[in-house]
Amino acid sequence: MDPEEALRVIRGLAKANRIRLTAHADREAAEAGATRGDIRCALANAANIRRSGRGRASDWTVVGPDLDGDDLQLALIIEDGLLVITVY
Amino acid sequence: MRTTELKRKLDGRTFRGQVPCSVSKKRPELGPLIEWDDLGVFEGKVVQSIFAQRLLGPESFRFCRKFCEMSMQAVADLLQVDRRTVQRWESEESPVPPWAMLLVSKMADERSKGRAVMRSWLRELADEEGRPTEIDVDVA
Repeated sequence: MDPEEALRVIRGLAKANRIRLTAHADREAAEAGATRGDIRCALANAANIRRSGRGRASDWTVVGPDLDGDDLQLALIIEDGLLVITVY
Repeated sequence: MRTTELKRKLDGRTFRGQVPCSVSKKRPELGPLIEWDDLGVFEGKVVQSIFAQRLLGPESFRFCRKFCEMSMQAVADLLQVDRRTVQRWESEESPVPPWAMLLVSKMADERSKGRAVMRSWLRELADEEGRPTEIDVDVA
């Protein structure tokens, strides 16, 4: 999957709420004050994407706006038609 | 059923809850995975506690606002204050007024239960147009 296609898939899955979080990502997001709404907003409107480095617990790193329009970066994998957020 | 503990720290208070979780067969190293809907239920229980216990504070206010999926500007428009005012409340430059906390936590509480009565009222109050200028009252 190329980055452009991945971005399209990520936006679509986010809009359909096909999302899971690792407990680790949830802890990090909570510490940063990000909520479920922020995460969904960032994914559904993600503007930038890059492949995560080798050996990382994610395939893609995306950046999108949270509910207030501030950039939020998330690392994720796409697995079985679901987005799995691994790192906030 | 396997569960994992979720935690939110807001204004010095810790909200805890156990939610169901699963583990990926392909990537077990990721650890417990939380379903999106379960995360929503947990956040809903947090806002219900904030409203039920009449908790007040900038982080609780922000959490309730975001639970309603509202930007600072959207909540400012609804409460008929400036966006900068909301920003000051949330950054502790000035205290969150109890009336604003009550309205936003009530909106969040209702949303967690699939209702939007308070939000509709506030939207109507913010809309000056379409208001009658002459009103007959029934005194019989």
